[in-house]
Amino acid sequence: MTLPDRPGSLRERDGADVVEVSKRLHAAGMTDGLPVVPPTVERVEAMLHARDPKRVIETLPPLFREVTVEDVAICAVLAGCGPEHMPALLAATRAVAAPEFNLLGVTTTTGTTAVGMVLHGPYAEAVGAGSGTNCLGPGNWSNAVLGRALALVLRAAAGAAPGIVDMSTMGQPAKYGFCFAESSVAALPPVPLPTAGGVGAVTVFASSGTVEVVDSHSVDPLGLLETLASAMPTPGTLHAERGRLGSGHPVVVIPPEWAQRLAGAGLSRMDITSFLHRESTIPIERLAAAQRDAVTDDVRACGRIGTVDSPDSILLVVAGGIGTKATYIPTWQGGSLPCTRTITDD
Amino acid sequence: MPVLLFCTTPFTPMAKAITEGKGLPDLRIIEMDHPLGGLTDPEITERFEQVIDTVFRHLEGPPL
Repeated sequence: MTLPDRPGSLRERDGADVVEVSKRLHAAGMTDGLPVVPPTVERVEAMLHARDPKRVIETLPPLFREVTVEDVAICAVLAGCGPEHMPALLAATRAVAAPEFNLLGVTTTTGTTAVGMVLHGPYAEAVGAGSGTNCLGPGNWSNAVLGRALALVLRAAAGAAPGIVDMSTMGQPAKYGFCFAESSVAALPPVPLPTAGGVGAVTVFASSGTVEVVDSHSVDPLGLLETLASAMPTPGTLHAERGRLGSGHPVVVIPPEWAQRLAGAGLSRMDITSFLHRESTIPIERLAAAQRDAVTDDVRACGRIGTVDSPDSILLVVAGGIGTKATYIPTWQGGSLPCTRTITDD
Repeated sequence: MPVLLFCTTPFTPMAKAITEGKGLPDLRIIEMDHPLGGLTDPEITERFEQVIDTVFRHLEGPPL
């Protein structure tokens, strides 16, 4: 594996062979191993859409490179994006640079974390991003290319080369790309966003995988939440010094049918996240002895260890198709907070 | 303030890449045998005894 040069001024000739370009750029450490769209002059110009190519978006870890609009545009072309995807990709690039996201840790850890992104608001609909059936899986063009493009920004532009800088013991499939949209027609109100204006927003999070949560038996909506809360505490995600399982800031994706039933029972977003915060704990006896010995005094005195810092720490998103399956997404226990940025036309 | 960077051998290429990215290409790196995780206290002590002379040599030497 090679430490990639910044995409910079990379251009391929018109009519370049996809297989040849893909193999060459992969050997240069710039791709994920899948075929890429050759970044011809015409394609890159279309992606730039008259933006200043040399404008620095952010200085990104792990190699603390100044990532420019041109770098991002080339990654977008490689991933198969259209010009309509650039605003979200630029916003996501700004979001991962937030100090609380801890991109240095996320891109260098031996942990399995992958950077996921969720699109909010009218922009997601405008580009046809998937918030319905199989939204966390394949099949939606915008989800596929945007998730992949952000992963390529981290690898090719920021320099997170696997085996040299990205030291993940195993990685996970979502490192190829992980993007979905929040449902715009759910019974619960959308995620309250800290930023206003723009055509939408994007939230990035450091996913440590996905956990399917199934409850086909509960009639009482609180039963659904009990099942969800029981799925969240995972002893293998202990961060002893913080006294938490996982990062304390997980992502919870519930399907529209759950949202309908929970809202129908009069539960608000805060009611739901407060319940999950309160109930997603386990006795410390569930931890291995050495892990138990390492937890904070507060946790030891309480006798239970939790998964969530506070009700506001849960990113609760409604998405998915028909069915009653929810998804719990633990985030990297090394310490990374979801970060949101407005999508603008820049 | 003297600064040394400690890492186990498999992480040396990463450490060099990041320190160069931060504009600190000459930052002195102390390489230790891998792994450190899961070791007993005596084993940890042994690891540090392997490098302690190098640590003092760097700390007592001229600044970069």
